[in-house]
Formats: sequence, structure tokens, C-alpha cells
Amino acid sequence: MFLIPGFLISFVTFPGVMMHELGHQLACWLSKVCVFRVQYFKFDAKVAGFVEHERTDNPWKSLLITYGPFIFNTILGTILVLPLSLMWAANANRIILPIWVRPVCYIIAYFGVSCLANAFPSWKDAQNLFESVVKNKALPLLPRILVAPFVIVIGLCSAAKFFWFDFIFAFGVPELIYAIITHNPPHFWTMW
Amino acid sequence: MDGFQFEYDPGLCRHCHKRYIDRSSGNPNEFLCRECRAELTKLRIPKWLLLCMAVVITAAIVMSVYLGKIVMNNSTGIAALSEGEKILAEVDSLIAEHKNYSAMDVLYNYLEANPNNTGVAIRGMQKAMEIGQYDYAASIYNTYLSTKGFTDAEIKELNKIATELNRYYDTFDKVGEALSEYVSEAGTDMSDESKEALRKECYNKVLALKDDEGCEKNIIYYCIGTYLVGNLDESERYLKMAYNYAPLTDEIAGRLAVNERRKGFMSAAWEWVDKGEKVNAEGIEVRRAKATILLAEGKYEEALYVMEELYAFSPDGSYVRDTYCIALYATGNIDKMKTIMSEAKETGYEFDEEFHKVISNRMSIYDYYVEGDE
Repeated sequence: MFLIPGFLISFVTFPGVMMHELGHQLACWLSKVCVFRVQYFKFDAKVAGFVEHERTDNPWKSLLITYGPFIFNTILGTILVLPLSLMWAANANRIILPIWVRPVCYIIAYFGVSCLANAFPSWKDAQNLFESVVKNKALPLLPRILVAPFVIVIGLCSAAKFFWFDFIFAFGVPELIYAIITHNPPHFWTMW
Repeated sequence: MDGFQFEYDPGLCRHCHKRYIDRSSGNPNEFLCRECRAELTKLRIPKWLLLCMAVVITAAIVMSVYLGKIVMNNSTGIAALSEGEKILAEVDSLIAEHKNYSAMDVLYNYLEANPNNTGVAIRGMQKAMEIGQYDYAASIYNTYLSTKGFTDAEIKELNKIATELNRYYDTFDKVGEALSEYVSEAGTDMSDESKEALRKECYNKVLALKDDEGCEKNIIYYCIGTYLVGNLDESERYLKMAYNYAPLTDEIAGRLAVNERRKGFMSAAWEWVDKGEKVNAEGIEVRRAKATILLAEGKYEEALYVMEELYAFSPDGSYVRDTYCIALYATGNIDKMKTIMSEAKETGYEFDEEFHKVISNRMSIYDYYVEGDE
């Protein structure tokens, strides 16, 4: 498997990292959980960004805060890659577009792909959720059991990142939108 | 440890260390005062980040609306988009099989049912141009595109095609004008000398057009090679020049096959048929040339099979009726031949003298096709 250091990917997709942290922040705001400090992005090989928030004993709030970036980045990323998908649909119908459309679509799509590539909760997020909910014996058993699969999903996704799962997701979303619009199968890398 | 150690009041807010912790919520783990909690649960996003996000999201929405409108306006709906894609793919595969006329028919049928799909119309026009089917391209433009509104880029693309088409038809007009006198006078009772003088005059007129930058050279050479030169070698020379300019024109390959057949060079004739079929296996000139070579080689049944298809496709094509009748005669279908001949006579069609010699057994089919004028 072709390996690129994670921090390098974070640097290249820094808008997505920022939106990832914003996703945590928004989830805290929705859950009424205090946020003490937010670092949207920093050029650091270890931690590219973080949100320091109050510990909550509510398992559902913990779950929302952990999955906030996935929901927020996926919605935002989808909006940002939509012009690219529509441009592909226009090309598929042999519609000749003005010359400026292509670069503009790709620039916007860069932000979209960055968001989508950073949509998945991090391994650290999984650890936090595991510590605050699954391992927390003060909580009732049912929410701990219900939250456990979400921790496993994050763990699996983190492992799959080794196989570029985050980028397959990021590049797959615009192709999926294209397929839905045109009823045609996506063409994978040849479309880019 | 020696030294001064400041101790907070444990009842003070852990964030501001000024006010007392708010215990009103009943949470035993509470550690903030009311004001700090209210402040820290507010959504505080830096203005520069909000501004950047607003710019990018606005750009994405504007582009989506813009492109969405274009996609919807250029098709009769999203379903038509994919249907158009399928039609273009079908057209591509038929062209790949060298079935150019069938490809154009598929395209035309689709456009008749979906006249607003300008995307497919433009692409279809481009395809027609690519395979040398200029008449189809012009017809698509006139029927489905000339009254529509376009973007600047579409207009630029259409202008490019229109320029090419105009050049093609202008050349035809100019060559036709130069040829008209010769064609109308050649059939009259002129003396051979006068006819030859007229032919030379016309030849010079058409040949002069090659210096006209607005003319397609392949059309000029094709017309000279087909109508205006006195012998087969000269004809072949001009037709090959035309072919070099336009190798994707099946008519030229068909004419060259006929020339080789008339000289008795059957293997060379077959080579030209192969070349023509690779361009358009449905080409009238190529299919007729193929049938005449088969007739000259004595393969009458095969020739009849080719001609039956061709006659059904284009009965009024050049020499199609004659060749079909010869094939019917050669295979013993005399009654059917007579029916075709009488039908042709009713429409004013006249078979040439050598044709009558063949069907009255005064000339062999081989001589007709190798030594004769046809």
C-alpha cells in the first residue's frame, strides 16, 4: 500500500481538518456542552487540530460530539462537490460549457473533497468515546452497549484509512451524485 | 515543599475563579458559574473562518444552480440525459461496425422523438462530420439546431462545423456549375470533336477551382476523376488524389474499385472494396462495386444477395437498378428483371445500350463489366 505520512495529508487537506474541528464544536453547541478552546488547524505532525470541551456523562451527547464531524463534513462536502458532479453530467450530455467552469468547479471540489476526506472521526475520537461511555461504569448498561458498535465502526474506519478509505469516500461521493443525476454508472478515476 | 501556595476557594468557578459555582442545576459535578457556562456554551466561530466558509459555500451554490439549469435546459429531463448517452453510445458502436447509415438513422430517430436535446444534436452533428456524412450533419443543424438558443461556447463550436459544411456545399455548387454545361450538352447530338472540346473546357474550369482556398480539393478531384477524364488511368490518378485528401469517403473507394475492375485487376478492385467497407460498409458505391466484381468473377448468387439488399436500400442510386437487373438476369430471374425494368421505364429511367446487349445475350457479363463502359 502506498503510504503518505498522515500529517502531510492533513496539511494538504487543511480546510477539511478545520471543518472537522468545527463539526465537533457545532455538536458541542447543539449538546450545550462547554467548549474551552478550539484549535482549527496547526502545522503540527502530531495533532493538526482539536476541540477542548467539558466532559459529559450523557452518552448521546458524547456520541453526537464524536460523530459531529462526520455529519457536518459529509453535508458540507456534498454541497461543495455538487458543482463538479453537475459539470460531469453536463459533459456526459455533450453540453459545451464556458472555459472558466472547469477550473472553478475543481477549486470548489478541492474544498469539498478535503471536507469529505476528513469526515471520519479520528482514532482519538474513538478512544474518547470508548473512555467516556463504553468504559464508564457509572452509566447504565444499555447506552454503553448501544454506543459500542459506533466505537467499533470508527475503529474499522481508522484501520481502513490505511487502504485510503477516507479518500475513496471523498472521491466516491461526487461520483455517486453523478450516478444519481444521470442514471449512469460512475466512470471512477477516468472522470477526474 | 516550602514557599507560598495560593489556595482557591473550592466554591469558586473553575473557569473565572471570581464567581461561585452555580448549583441550581442540581448537578453535583458542576464546576462553572452561571455566566461562564452561558459564555462557554455559545457558538464562537472566528469571523475570518465564517467569511471563508460563506465565500466557498456561496460559490458552490451559485455554480450548482448555474450548472443545474444548463443540464436541465439542454435535455428534456434527466432521463433524457442518460437516454441520449445510450443513443450516442449506440451510434458509436454502429460507426465502429462501419454501418454509418444505420448509425445516422438511429441518431435521427432519437432526435425526432427528442427535438429539444440539443446536446445530442450537437454531438450527433460532430459524429456525422467525423465520418464524412455531411448531408446528415447539415440536416441535423437545419432541423434541430438552427432555431435554438446557445451559449457562446456552443455557438463557437457550431460555427466551426457550419464553416466546414459551407465549404463543402460551396465546392459542390461551384463544381456543379462548371459541370452543368458538359452534362446537359454531352447527351445531345454533338459531334465527338465538339464533345471533347466541351469536356476539356469543363475540365479546365473544374481544375482551376483547386486554387480556390474556399474549395474542398477532394470534391474537385473526385468530380474530375469520375466525369471529366477520358481514360481509366487518368481517372484513377485523380480519384487517388481525392482519396488522399478524404480517405474517409467511401464513394471514392467505390469508384476506384470500379476502375480497377474495368481494367480487369480484380484483386486491386477487392482491396478498394475492403478500404471502402472499412469506412462505411453500407456505402452505396462500395456495395455496388462489390456486386459488379462478383458478377465479373461469375459469383452470381453472391452478387444477387448484395444487390437485393442495396436495391431495397437505395433503388435510385447510381447504376443500382442496372446492376440489380444484371444480377437477376445472371441468376435466371428473368421475370423479376422484366418487372423491375418495366417499373423503371414507367418512371422514365433508361438503361444504356450495352445493358440491352447483355440481357439479349449479345455481350457477356464479364465483357460488360471489364471491357465495357460501366
